[in-house]
Amino acid sequence: MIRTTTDGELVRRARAGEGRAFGELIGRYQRAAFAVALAVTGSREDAEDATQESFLVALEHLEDCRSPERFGGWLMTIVRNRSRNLVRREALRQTDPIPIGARSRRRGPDGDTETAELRRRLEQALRGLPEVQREIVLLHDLEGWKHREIAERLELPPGTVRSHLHFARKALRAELDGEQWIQSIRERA
Amino acid sequence: MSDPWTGRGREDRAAPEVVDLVGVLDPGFEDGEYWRRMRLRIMSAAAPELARRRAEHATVFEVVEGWARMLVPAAALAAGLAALILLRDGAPATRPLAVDEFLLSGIEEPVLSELASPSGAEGAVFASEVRF
Repeated sequence: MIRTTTDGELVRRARAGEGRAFGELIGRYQRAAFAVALAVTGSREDAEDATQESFLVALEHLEDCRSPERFGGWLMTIVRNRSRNLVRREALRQTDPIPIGARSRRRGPDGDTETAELRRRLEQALRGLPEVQREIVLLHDLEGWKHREIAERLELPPGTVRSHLHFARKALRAELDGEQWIQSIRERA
Repeated sequence: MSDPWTGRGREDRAAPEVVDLVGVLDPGFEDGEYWRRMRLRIMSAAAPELARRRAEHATVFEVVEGWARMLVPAAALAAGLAALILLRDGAPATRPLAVDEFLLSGIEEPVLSELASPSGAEGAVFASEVRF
């Protein structure tokens, strides 16, 4: 995708209240923000809430974004913090832990139960990874960010990103090995 | 397998089945309108803050223009109403008084004739000195 307007320009215009500029920033980063929020919360619904909340917080504090060209990284920090707060609030509210994916099933019907089950298993497997690995694997495999982009926005060395991604995938593969979906994908390949 | 929603390239193919499976975590996987709706929801919630920022960043010209947009129609309306009221009040206009007429109004005729007499012209005469 060719970006004709830089993030910095969009941030400056959004600071002046230009809705189109802010809308463009949402379009560019909502998937990545969701991926980071999902990595922290482990729940689609919470990730959705954290994503929306983070964009609003970012808009209210746009003047604090000292490097508008690096809006993406700044936003991801907000998403991470908001998501952690959300998890803490949820933990305080609930004495009994809700199984991962349970809330996903409660809200809205899933068209495909097999997909829902796969999603639940994946969410469970992701829970077993360190937060940074969850973020990296989701940003890379869900959002399609490149190693370089992830490294820049998470402020990590590219080699570390590559290594985290490798170990995260290996762990997920081990966790899901033997599942029928893995088998069917292997058969198709 | 191609990326079903971003179409962007992936660099690490060490575990292709994991890459493919992770796709189901995308809410847009089953709901093509998901991301558009989310964007609209955020934009809707952000509208008051964007409006506040627009108002804060308005230039002097924009402020004057904004005032003019409100004041010009209001002034035109007021002028129209005033004209309407004047036209509907069909009373004939009274002849304006000249200054000397205004000064002498209310003074009785004998006083006036005494004041106009030659003796009166010799010196100052007070109205209280006039004998009827």
